[in-house]
Amino acid sequence: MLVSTITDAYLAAQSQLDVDPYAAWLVAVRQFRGDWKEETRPEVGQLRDYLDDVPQEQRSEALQDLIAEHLQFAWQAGQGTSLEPYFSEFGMDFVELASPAVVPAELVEDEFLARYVLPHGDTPTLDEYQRRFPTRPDVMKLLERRCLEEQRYVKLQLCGQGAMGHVFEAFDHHLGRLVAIKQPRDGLVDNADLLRHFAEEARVTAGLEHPSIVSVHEYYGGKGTPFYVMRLASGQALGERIRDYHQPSADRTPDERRLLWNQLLQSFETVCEAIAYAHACGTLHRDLKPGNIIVGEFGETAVLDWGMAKRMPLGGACSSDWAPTGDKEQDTCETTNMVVGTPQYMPPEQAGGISDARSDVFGLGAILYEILTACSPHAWPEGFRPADWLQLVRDAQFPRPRRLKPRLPRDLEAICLKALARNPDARYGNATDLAQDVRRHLAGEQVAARAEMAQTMGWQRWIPGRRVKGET
Amino acid sequence: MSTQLSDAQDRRETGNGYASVDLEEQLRPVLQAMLVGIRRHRETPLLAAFDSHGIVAAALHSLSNGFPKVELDELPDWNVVTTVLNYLVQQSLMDEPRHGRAGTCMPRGAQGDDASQMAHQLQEDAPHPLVVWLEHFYTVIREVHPKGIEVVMLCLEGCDSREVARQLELPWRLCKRVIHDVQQAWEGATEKM
Repeated sequence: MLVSTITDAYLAAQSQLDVDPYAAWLVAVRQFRGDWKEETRPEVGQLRDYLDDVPQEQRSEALQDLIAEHLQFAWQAGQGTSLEPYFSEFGMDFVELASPAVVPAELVEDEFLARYVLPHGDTPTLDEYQRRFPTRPDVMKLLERRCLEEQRYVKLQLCGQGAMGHVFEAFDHHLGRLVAIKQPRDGLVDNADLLRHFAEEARVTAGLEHPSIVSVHEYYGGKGTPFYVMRLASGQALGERIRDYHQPSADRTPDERRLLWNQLLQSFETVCEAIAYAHACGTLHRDLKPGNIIVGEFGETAVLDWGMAKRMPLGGACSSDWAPTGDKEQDTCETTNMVVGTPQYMPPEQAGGISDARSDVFGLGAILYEILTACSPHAWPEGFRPADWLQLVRDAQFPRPRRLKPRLPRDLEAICLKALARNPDARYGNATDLAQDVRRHLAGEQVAARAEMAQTMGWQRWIPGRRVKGET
Repeated sequence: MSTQLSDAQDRRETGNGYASVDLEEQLRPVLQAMLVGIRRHRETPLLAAFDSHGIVAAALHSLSNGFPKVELDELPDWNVVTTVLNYLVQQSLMDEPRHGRAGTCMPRGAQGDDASQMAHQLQEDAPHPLVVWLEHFYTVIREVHPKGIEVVMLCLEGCDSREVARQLELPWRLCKRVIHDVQQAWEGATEKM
């Protein structure tokens, strides 16, 4: 109710918006961007032309925005320069651009960041800026805030954030490559429990070395805010890919759709194998969802965000055929009532504070469900009370995939439902089995889940031309 | 902590509602930040349906980043604030906040707690103070800039002005101007209140 009230207020506000005191400023910058992309590539002196319609009192800042954009584009194109040519061009008309002694520190920061644009950037160091701006401690302070570990790493931009931490794209000066850096939020650095959790998260992730798991390079927990360095995974979130696939598009031919569909299933299979590996190393992910999976340009798939991962308490869990022993004390990670994970994809037992490897199998099933139906198994129905929603999670109540998409292959539905079984014992015993069944489906072979379902329900006769496992 | 809350509650029960009203007034900006935290967590990485401490901590941090001039120091004892906030976050996550079913969905350990009773009482009177506050907030911000509300929301989510600019595809300095104008408009509006 609160959410809908807020949304109504927001929409009412939106409908009445007609004031934009900065329209000309925005138009100027957009015009410049458009011109650059159309290969017009304005020279430094031509930036002045974009300011014609901008009100006098906004011109200086608008020009600085144009200079920042120009620097960025120019370095991307391998034609980058420092700020000095801009001082010569505009210093007479704009007092803020007269010399290094008066230039706004943020504009220097813009130049600094533009020079990290790969592959043409020259990745400067602070020493150079110290020489160029010797009387500007404010400039140095601004730039130092971006540097970590004695300038080894330079934070370039924020890639993502959650309640606990930020992930930045950063440049590693020692190895000359882009990396990702995760830091806890500033406001949380005094919280000893969270810092312990943060260090544990780094340790757990570092223990996993797999092509489809983002590896941790280093952890720095000394002075200042702790952080750890990871491989930078770039690409599109699986969730976005799923949305793209299900988006009705007139442009896509049936062949293209089939190709995309197979790519989604192959990515899913890769994720299953990565999770099987993690389980073999004794680690549970506990927050599997399409948003935590990145698919790169060439189909490379990576499982991210091991922030809720836990080591399984089993000493002997480091084997690929690990299976629950049936002893609750041994098999489960959580015996407290702390619930972790994302409810939309959460297994029922995890909503009760307990998880084991089969909980991740459920998480994988939830991802498959979203691939099949474009929605999560426990999507929050509008107007539903969260308490009831959580009950939904505990009961594992969701419509069968073919109720939502009647043309789905029955095999895939059977695989999905087996992975999403309410009773953990009825699920796939491990992620490898799930991956194998998906692989069988892609190869047009009999899938185990379907045969099992048929056996269970006495439906063998409804599977034409297919031999049920164990049948003579 | 409990003394302050008990006092406030006693005064309310005896007909003097000023203490709790003051508390509501002081908490509203924080509640707004907190709500953004809840919204984010519903959609993205919910570190547990019940990890209210993390949400509140993040929201408070967002608030101090987004609105540095808010006089946070004048809020009552921080333990009281965070306890009440924790309760409200849990309520928001677990049940409808406006006509909450206190008792059925109370967080573990919060039942019978002074803070939860206090927070529950704050919620009894419709409309929810947070909604009233938000309606006023939108009225002020919408007059500043077409993207004013989106800018502020991103600020409250902890984005710095560069990140806000990137997400909304605005030039950075223009974005900073909008944030500045929003702050001024909001300060002007709160002075009149």
